[in-house]
Amino acid sequence: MSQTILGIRDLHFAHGDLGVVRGVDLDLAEGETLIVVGPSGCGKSTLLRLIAGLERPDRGSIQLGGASLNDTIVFTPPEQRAVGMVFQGLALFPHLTVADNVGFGLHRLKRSERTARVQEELRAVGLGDLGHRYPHQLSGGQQQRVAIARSLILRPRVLLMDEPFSDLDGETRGKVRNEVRRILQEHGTAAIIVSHDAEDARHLGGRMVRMEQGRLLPENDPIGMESARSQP
Amino acid sequence: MAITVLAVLLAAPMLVVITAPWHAAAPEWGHVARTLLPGHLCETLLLLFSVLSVALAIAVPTAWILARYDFPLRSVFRWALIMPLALPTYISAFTYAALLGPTGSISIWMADQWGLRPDVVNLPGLSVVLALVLFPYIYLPARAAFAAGLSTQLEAARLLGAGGVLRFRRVALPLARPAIAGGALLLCMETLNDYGAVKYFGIRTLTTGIFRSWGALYDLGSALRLGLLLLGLVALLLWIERRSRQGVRQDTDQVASQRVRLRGGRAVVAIGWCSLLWLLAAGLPLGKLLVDVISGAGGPLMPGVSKAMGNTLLVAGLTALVTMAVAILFTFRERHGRRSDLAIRLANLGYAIPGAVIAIGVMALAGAIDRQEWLGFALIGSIGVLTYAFVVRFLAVGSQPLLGNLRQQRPSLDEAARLLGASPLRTFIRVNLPLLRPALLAAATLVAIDVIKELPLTLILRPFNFHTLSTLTYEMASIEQLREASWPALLIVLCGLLPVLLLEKVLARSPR
Repeated sequence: MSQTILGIRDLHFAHGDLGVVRGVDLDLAEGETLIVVGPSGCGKSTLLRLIAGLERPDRGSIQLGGASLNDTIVFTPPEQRAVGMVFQGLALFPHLTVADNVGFGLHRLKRSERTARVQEELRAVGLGDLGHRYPHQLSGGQQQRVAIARSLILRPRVLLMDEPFSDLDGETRGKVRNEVRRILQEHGTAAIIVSHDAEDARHLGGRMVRMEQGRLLPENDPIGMESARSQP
Repeated sequence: MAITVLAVLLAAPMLVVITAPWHAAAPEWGHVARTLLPGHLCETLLLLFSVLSVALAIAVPTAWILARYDFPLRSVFRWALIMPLALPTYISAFTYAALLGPTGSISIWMADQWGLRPDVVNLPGLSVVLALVLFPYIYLPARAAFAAGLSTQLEAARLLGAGGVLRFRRVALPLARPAIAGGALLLCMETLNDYGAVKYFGIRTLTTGIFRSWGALYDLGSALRLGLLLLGLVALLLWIERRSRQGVRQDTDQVASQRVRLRGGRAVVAIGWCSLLWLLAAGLPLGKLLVDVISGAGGPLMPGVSKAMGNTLLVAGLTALVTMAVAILFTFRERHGRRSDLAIRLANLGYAIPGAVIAIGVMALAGAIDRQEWLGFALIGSIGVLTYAFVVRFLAVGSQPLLGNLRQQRPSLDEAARLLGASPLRTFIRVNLPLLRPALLAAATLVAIDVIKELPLTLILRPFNFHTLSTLTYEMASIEQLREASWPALLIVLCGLLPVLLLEKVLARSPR
């Protein structure tokens, strides 16, 4: 059995306009894909933001690879967490080329080394020839792949994806889902994908959990899972 | 910490003025309070009231006509009627005095023709001149309010049988009140800030009182107290403006209203009114300057003018550079630090405070430092202090466009950068700042042009024998060399036209 890479215990958060998280417990194994489904405002995105360190939890702990990211004493800032994230809306830097977007996190490497790594990553997502373009010159699916390449280039322990397919039309959505599945399998990266669409879970082939009103429902809860599957 | 210290440093002149009664001795205050204050305060209030009344009477109907009606040349007037913003008030006042003053060319011609000699060099005349230059401050927001919203409310009023005048008076005007009040506040602040025009027309205001206390009585303490009074008046105006907004929520439709096409006599009246207004507000002063320069009455471009031009570009460039550097630091703090920072908010208040008040605050501050012998050189009368005072005054002009633009950048861009290992500083430099570049350039241009036009602060704090275009214009005009003043004045106006063009470009994207 694979080792647990991410462990969350009794995580609580309630602030401002963000969704509420109430006592979430979660384990994610190495290389595993977990799909969190649930209605808007149920706290799915907030959960990702807490794991990424973009919000400070009120209570609870998050451990990554056995090391504590936050508990009552420690709070590791996002830039030191080795967690990658693909944002809803992608958050590509509009003033940087595709290559500069993907290589943004490699600023400590030499230019030649950086260029080689970027090229390798772009080839892996099928965008080897498009490094010189700007994000607005790409299709929605291509932009999605840039965002994934940018997150994976630092070899994060966990990749978080917030509604990664929500802005795509039907045909592109199917293609990108397959791409994501292939890329995650090739990299062997553990991932948590948040979606309001249970179809995503079926196509990505990972474990699915449902979130409602800030709580993760037990995975053997037939009502919760059934209602998740029947989501439009 | 360093940013807070910087913010406190920039707020210091204001704090010096506010605390003046406790730290600045004012040997002449008794005399100033008895003989100078009542007249100056009275004329300040009278001028404020009359400029505001005339400007409202001009701006609101004009905004209504251009927002709600279509007629030939309308798009030309849309742009042309914001041109007066390019004219500093003192230049407009000098040209009007040269045309319609007691010895003005039009006055003399009228006296020859009809035995009638008009004279605008008095308080009512100045009120009209200032209102003609400053009315765009009300006209612009009012036009936007009339154009962008109110469609449904006005249609509802029409279905209820209200005629055009009633719809304007009972529906449009009350709903556009917040926009009009905001514009009126700016107009009042500009009137309070004015020195060149009021001094030339011989009107006694609190600003001229500050100059008199400092320049004639050599009593900085009294000047500071008058500054405090002026500051109180600004605070009162801010309070009135805020009160006037209460209870009014402007629900704009965010769609351009359908304009009514004017034909025949009505179109002629609309064109006639807009033409007359443009002629009086911009055409006449600009025409006079151009005629003087082209006819050679202003003389060839004198060495004094080119030197003043060089000085102006030096201080404008230096101020723009320092202001934008400070604005960038404050913007970084806003994005990646604590959001509500009292010192930064205080430092950004400078634009609401008249230049003369900031100047005497800076003078008191620099004087206190100069009295310490360890410094080895004098701050007062240096370009450094002049630049510092300009930064205090125009920081908001530099920082507000950046802050506005920054708020439009999605937070997820920063978050993505942070998750890719970038520190807050690197995120700001690599992500936020490059995206701010257009706003940065626009803001730097606006700051530089404000410096070029500024007069009272420059007059008080400039180094000895150091002229900028504005001080040269003022000085020549004040010794009745109005024609010679036309060259530097025209150069200032040409610089001022640049932001007006920028503004029109921005407005062209908004509902027409």
